[in-house]
Amino acid sequence: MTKTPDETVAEAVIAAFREKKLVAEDKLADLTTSLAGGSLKAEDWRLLAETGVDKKGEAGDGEAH
Amino acid sequence: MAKRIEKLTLQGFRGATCPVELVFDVNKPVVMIFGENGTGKSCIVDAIDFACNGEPGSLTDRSSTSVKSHLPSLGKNAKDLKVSLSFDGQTWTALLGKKGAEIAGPDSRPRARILRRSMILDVVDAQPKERYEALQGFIAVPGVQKCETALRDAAKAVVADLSEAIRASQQAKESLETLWKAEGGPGKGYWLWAKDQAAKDPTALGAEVKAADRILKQLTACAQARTSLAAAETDHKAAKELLKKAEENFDKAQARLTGIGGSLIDVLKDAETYLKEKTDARDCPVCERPIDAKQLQKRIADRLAEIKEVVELRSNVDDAIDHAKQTWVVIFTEQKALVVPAKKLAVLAKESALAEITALSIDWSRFPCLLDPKSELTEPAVVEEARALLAIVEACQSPLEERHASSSKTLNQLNAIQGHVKAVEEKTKDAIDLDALSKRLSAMLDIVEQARKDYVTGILAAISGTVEELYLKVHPEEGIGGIRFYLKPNVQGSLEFDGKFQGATEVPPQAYYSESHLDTLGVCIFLALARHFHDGNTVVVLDDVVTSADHAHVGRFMNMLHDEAVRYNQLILTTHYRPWRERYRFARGPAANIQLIELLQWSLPRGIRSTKTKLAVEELREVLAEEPLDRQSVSSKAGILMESLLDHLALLYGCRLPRRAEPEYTLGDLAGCIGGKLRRALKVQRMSEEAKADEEPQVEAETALDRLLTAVFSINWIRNQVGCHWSEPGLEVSDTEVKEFAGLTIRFAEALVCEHCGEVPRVEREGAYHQCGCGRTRLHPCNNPD
Repeated sequence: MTKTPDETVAEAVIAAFREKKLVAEDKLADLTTSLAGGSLKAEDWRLLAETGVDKKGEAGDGEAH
Repeated sequence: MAKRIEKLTLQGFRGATCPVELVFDVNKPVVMIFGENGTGKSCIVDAIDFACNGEPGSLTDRSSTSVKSHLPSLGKNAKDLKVSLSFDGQTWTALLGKKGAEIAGPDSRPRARILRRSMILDVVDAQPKERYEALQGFIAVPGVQKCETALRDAAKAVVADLSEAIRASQQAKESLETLWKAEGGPGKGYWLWAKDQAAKDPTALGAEVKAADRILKQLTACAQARTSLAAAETDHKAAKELLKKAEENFDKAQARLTGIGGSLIDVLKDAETYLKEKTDARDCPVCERPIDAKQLQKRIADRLAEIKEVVELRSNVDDAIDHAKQTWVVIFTEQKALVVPAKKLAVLAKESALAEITALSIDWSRFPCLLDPKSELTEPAVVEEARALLAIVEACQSPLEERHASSSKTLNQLNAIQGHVKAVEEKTKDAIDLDALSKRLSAMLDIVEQARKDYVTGILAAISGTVEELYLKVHPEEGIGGIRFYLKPNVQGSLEFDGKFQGATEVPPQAYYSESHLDTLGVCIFLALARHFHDGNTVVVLDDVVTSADHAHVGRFMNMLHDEAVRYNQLILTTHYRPWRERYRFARGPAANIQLIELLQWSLPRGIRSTKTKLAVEELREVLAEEPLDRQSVSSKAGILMESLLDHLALLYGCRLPRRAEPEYTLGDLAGCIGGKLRRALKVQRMSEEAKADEEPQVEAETALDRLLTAVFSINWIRNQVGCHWSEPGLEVSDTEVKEFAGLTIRFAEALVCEHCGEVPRVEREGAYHQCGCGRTRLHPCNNPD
């Protein structure tokens, strides 16, 4: 079956996400369909970005200077 | 063989007021549906759109129309509408439901890419935004774009959250700095001071404030109650004085009126009341002797009047007694109001560790009743103890209030500092997390945006090359082309394009190109997109895109379409432009590769009607076979066909003809321009099919045209004398001679036209010959020897 333009772009996006490690690997599987289908809401993106964040080394020391 | 539409049936669909069926020749890659305006061409295209794409077609571009009302034929309803389409052995049926097309059939429904004339303007002459919208069926990625918008919203929301966290942190810092300065700016800066303050435990201070607060509240309540009690006692004392005086006045009046006692007055009043209620009384209720009630009532009233002063004084005494009782009740109430908080005050003060209270050194043995929870609230001893305790504790009220205010302020400040320090720490951490999240979302957005743009840019680059290729086929060596599509940077949904014109590059074609050049450009753009997105299941439809303005290029345009058609499943053309159709009828195009369908005049009762378009040579064969022989028709048709073929040869070899304002040459003119040398040199070769790309085809048959032409030319006067004019000599021409003229014309056409592609040789090859579109027929010589 020929890919739709949306699917083609979605796959390119997923590949770049994977390469840049921007989204957790287990979340990438279903992302192509959601992205091509236009079903990702703002809150879904935020959750993806939050769960994809590697917490190590990113926490601040809380100093307020 | 490519999958193609085999049959299309329309019922109750727009102009199809009667059921109409179009059967397509699946062996032909191109279908031309010819019809004059109003015969139903666009209706057929809309039906293809409806059945393949589920779209209502051109009706959406018409104002004041609705699909529900106007897609069904005039006088029909949605339920009467039905379009059936057979494609590659499978059939789909499209009905008009409440929400549009409802299509039943297998999943592999073909897609139709349809270019209408109005769309050409949108593509080539519209603003960049409208151009993008016109082509978004090809280049848009609506799903990804929707998600991209959501991602952008998410990124913006996080940036807003980040700003808010930074603002809240900053505000808390400023508050701490203000507090620090108010304290004289101690230590090494506000933050260290604040952290130091925030580390303090406020519990003891809070308990102290609470204890002082509770004692002060009870103290205040006691003081208020004591004031109220004093007022009540004053009132009671006055009431007692008033009673004493009323009793003295009553006693004096009683002594003056001897024999009248208080009890007599009571008896008389009771009797008066009794008789008012018992108006029918006949006996005295006391002695039971008969009475005259009216007389007795009068007598009682008279006696009460006689002792009126005594009665009033007695009433005064009663009022004074009531008043004294009321004031006594108020005293009781106020005593309770004093004793209740006093008891609480006693308990609080006794247990208090506050310095102000302990400094009083209260002797609690003096307050046994007050400390006894079971003691009566109005017991005189309790009331007195309450007064006494209040008097003692009041002594420390002022310093206690000062301590309470001071400690409260300290506590509030401590709480504020702790709150602000907590806010700074939490919001700073939030800001760090949100900053990381924002960067991540921004990176994701960059990727999605770039991927979308790369995709569209890739398509545009690809089609730019194809557009150039197709456009140069139609307009070779005209100094135009170089068409380049691109997205305007930082603008979503805006498609720019430019081209070259007479050496100038990157110019807007719409500023310099003629209307017909823009038309063919629009078609080339559409075909390039259709080629790019062809998926083996797509039919391409060009709905009436060629007009008379394109006359100069129609031959090259036809060739380009035939070259391109093999890339799609099927190419369906509709046109009202008769010269285009006639070129096929007279073998000026590859007639064997195209199915010609002609639409007949439309009418409401008969609807859309179609018929097969006959080639000129087929038509001549049919009329020649009819009996009795239609001499005029045969002669006329043979003459026109011959004229067409000779006209082609004259053009191909640049034969000399008389100069005229209009190039309307007769058969005699055209026959005369073919010189002897050329006539003798003319020969047609039938070539074998190329087995391999590098293999030279072989000559399978060769026909010299000299004898045929000589024979035709010898009797071509039959065309005029029998086919065109009334003449005496024409009446003497026999049917046999007419048949011979037609037969020779047919043989000449059969010899010259390629039997494979149905086209006359027209393209010069290698300076040696001319060949047809498929290359299987060659015409020699290459140049005119005359």
